[in-house]
Amino acid sequence: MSDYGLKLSAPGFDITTNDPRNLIFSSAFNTMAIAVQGSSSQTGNSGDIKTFTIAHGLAFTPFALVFLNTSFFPSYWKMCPMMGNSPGAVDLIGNSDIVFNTDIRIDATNLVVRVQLHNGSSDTVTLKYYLFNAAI
Amino acid sequence: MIIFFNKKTGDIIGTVEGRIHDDTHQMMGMSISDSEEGDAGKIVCQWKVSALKTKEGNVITPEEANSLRENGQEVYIEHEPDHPQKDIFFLLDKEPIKVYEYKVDVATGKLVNK
Repeated sequence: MSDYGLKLSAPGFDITTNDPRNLIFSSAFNTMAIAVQGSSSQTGNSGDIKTFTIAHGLAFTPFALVFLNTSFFPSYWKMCPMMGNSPGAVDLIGNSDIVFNTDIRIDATNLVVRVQLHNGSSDTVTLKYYLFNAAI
Repeated sequence: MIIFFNKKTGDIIGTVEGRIHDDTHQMMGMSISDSEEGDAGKIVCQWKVSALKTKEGNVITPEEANSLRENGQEVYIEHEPDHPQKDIFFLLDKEPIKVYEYKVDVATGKLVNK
């Protein structure tokens, strides 16, 4: 048995197609499954640098995605890392009040996210993290 | 879901989402600014099988389920949070981010509304 696995074809395509672009899924390819996901939250004031440290328990340095949300603008999530609206910088999405500089570091032990708040008052920052079963 | 909270204040500082948490998840830790990992308490809520049902929705015993499977029939498995506050964990399963509307009563270890 040298050729076995699971395939799902896109609507209208024969599952026996030889072109992988016509497949929705094929076990022949790495699918970047999520190993662990969750969130973390803390409150700070303008100028504060907040650090989130997540000991992920995986035995390798995983590929990571992190999104950040604020109580000041809770309706959407920003992808990290980012250089936000530093004083005088142009805010490309038009919310000059919510300003963050963020940095992500990850190794085989910890995911560390640092966030510098620039909002004019107290703000709660929540991040969502996704760590994948794929080593960097 | 695994919920990490500040042992002194009861504030929730983070989560690991999911219904089943293996050894890797159990080893996870979390800290935020002004706290150390050891400051965090942990609530672990695993999900368990709550009922076995036939295709028609009738509740059956494990023995009946095995018998149906041996005859090639489908058995439906329902799950629920294995936790005294399972109603809250049902809600958090749908909207995990709502966890920050709660805090932990450090005296009882229970989730309470902020």
